[in-house]
Amino acid sequence: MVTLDEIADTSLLQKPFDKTADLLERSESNYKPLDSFALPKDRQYQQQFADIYFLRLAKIKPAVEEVASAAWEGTVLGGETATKVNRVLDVRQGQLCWVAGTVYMDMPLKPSVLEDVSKDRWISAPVTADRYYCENGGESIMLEDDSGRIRLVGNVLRDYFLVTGCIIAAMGTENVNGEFEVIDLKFADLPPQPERWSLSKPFSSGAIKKSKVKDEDVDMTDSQPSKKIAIVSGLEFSGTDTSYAMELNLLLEFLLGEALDPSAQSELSHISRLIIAGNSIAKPSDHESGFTTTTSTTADSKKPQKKYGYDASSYNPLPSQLLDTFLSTLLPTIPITLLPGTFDPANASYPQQPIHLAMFPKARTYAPVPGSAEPGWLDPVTNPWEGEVEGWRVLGTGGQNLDDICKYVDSEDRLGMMEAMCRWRCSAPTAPDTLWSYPFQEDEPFVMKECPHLYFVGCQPTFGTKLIEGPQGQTVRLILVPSFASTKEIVLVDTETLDVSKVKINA
Amino acid sequence: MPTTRRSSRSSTGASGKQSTLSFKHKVTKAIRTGKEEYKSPSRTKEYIPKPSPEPASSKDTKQNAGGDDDDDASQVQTPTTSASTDDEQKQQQHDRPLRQIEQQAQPALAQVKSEDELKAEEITDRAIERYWAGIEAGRMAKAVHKKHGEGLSTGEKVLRYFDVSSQYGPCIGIARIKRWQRAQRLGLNPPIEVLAVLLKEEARGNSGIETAHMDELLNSTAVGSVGV
Repeated sequence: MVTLDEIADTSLLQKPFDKTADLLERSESNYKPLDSFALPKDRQYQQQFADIYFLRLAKIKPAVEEVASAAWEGTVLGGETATKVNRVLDVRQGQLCWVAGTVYMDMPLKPSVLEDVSKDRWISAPVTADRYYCENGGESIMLEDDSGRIRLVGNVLRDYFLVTGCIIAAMGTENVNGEFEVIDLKFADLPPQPERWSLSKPFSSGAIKKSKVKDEDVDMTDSQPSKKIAIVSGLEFSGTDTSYAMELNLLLEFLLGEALDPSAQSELSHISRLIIAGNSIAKPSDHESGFTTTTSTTADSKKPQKKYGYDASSYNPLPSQLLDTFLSTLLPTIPITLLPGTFDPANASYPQQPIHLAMFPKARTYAPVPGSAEPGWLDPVTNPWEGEVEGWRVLGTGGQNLDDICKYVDSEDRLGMMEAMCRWRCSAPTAPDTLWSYPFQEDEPFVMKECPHLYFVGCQPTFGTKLIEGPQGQTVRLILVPSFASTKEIVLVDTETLDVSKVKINA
Repeated sequence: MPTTRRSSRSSTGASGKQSTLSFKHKVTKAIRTGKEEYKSPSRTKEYIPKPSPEPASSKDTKQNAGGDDDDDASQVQTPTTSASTDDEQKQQQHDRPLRQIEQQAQPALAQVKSEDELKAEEITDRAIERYWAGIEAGRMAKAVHKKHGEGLSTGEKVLRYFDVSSQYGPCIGIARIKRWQRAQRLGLNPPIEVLAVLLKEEARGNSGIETAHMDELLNSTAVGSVGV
């Protein structure tokens, strides 16, 4: 019998290497989520939505007026000095003045319940038009506050993105038609930005020494190794559509570090956290849902038995099972933050509450015990979500707010709209007008009190990124996270420089 | 309702063996004797007859009390669930949003006294009267509709003026004390006299003070109104 040692040095066989491969360890994630968008479980719905607009105006108006008075105080146009008026209805014809208020866009294609009632048409589900903006005009932009509304006209309005719900200050004068002719517009611009590490402490190299970190005052960025945050959205696990199932599997291997060669894997071990930004479960296709069309064959014509108002036999548990398997495979190695999206099993109105852990029987073991203060490795969060990751203040949404704004404007510049949202200081200005929202009464969380360092929006058609700057030196990195199911791309953010790179997975 | 037919025939018809129901003794609509003085619609008590002891009359109680078509369930419920106090009888299903507003106010009032509340408690009645006189003096127009304000105390006038001050937000759907606290939190400086009146009324046990008067008007349904 020939032993391995005898033929070891011949060209045919080789003994396995003696040295064992280095075990790579993933970098630890420094994470502190904020529950700014969490709603109480026993919330009331009896209140009116007017409170939301009042809260938004009351919170942003001081900032807008400050910017406006700094810009326009003492400007003389045509021999007249601009004066500030307190209420929208106080503008006088021929007098140059400026006023702050909320914008309201009146568009003919917007769904309007008054129109439906007056035309005596009862539509069971709200009709969603793709775009509210139509080419031939017919829309009017109005400025509104608690006293009343006034229509805005002027060519300068075309240079800006304007949607219902953003707070602006407009300078101009009233013309003979009773409309306000706008000469200049100002927004509140970016809110004050907190410092990095305002809510959490960085891990110092070695054990976490809480007391000594402040005294040393060493430049903390030096001692931090460069980590990465992975952001993905639109995983869209589906029971029926398998065109991207291979890429999903490859993504799993990529994040686990099983794919590629050791040098790439050591790069990947720096990914400290995965953020899933919405649409993890695919939209149910038509034949999956319980609605039978009238053109169905006679074999299908026997209507499925409906109990409790829905057809139980058409429920397909496969998508959430696939998502659960995906998460539970990944969770032992990487912490995950899960935001719900439009198609996910969370509530339909903004802000969406975290996906209930009952959906994930396997991944549930990585979630925190109910009542504990620490977030677990699986952190289901609200949509939109605010938190601090590696010291940077992060604001992220699942895409509904940006998609809704796109319907108002005739432009595909989604990064421009994201920038506009930051400058308006409002992350969802169209709520509650066309974006379903909870009727907030005490406090409206969509107003950005503090400027985030990183703002990402998920489930977008293409990838995009931009760095914007504010008047007080704020910088925000904007990221459009593409939908994985259509583009097969994920986004990696470097935690030290906030540079963005994208990884495309090709099967 | 069509008028009941008073038939002189016996209750068992000539051809049938079944006995027909006799409506002669049942009250099937609200009776207003006209002796009641005129009250504003929001304050009218609904006429709720006691349910008849016979089982056949359960239908009758549902048809009572005029045009409140959405109150059918509550009519059957009211005799069993309502407390015996006057206030409870007045508050029926359409008043539930108002009751929710009062409940909203409870935690706000039960909290530890804040600085504002301590300051508000020091304000005397005279100070409130002075505040109100100041507001009235500031008005340039003559008071034309004085007679509507005759039955109201100064405290109530102060509260209603607070309700219509739109700079503090809409007054519908929110308890007055919560609205005051929200305005205070946003830095709008609502008048402390309003808080003083609210606390005094609460101390007196008048929990209905929390709902804005406009809210009550918008939420009530007038007796005799035709259902939609």
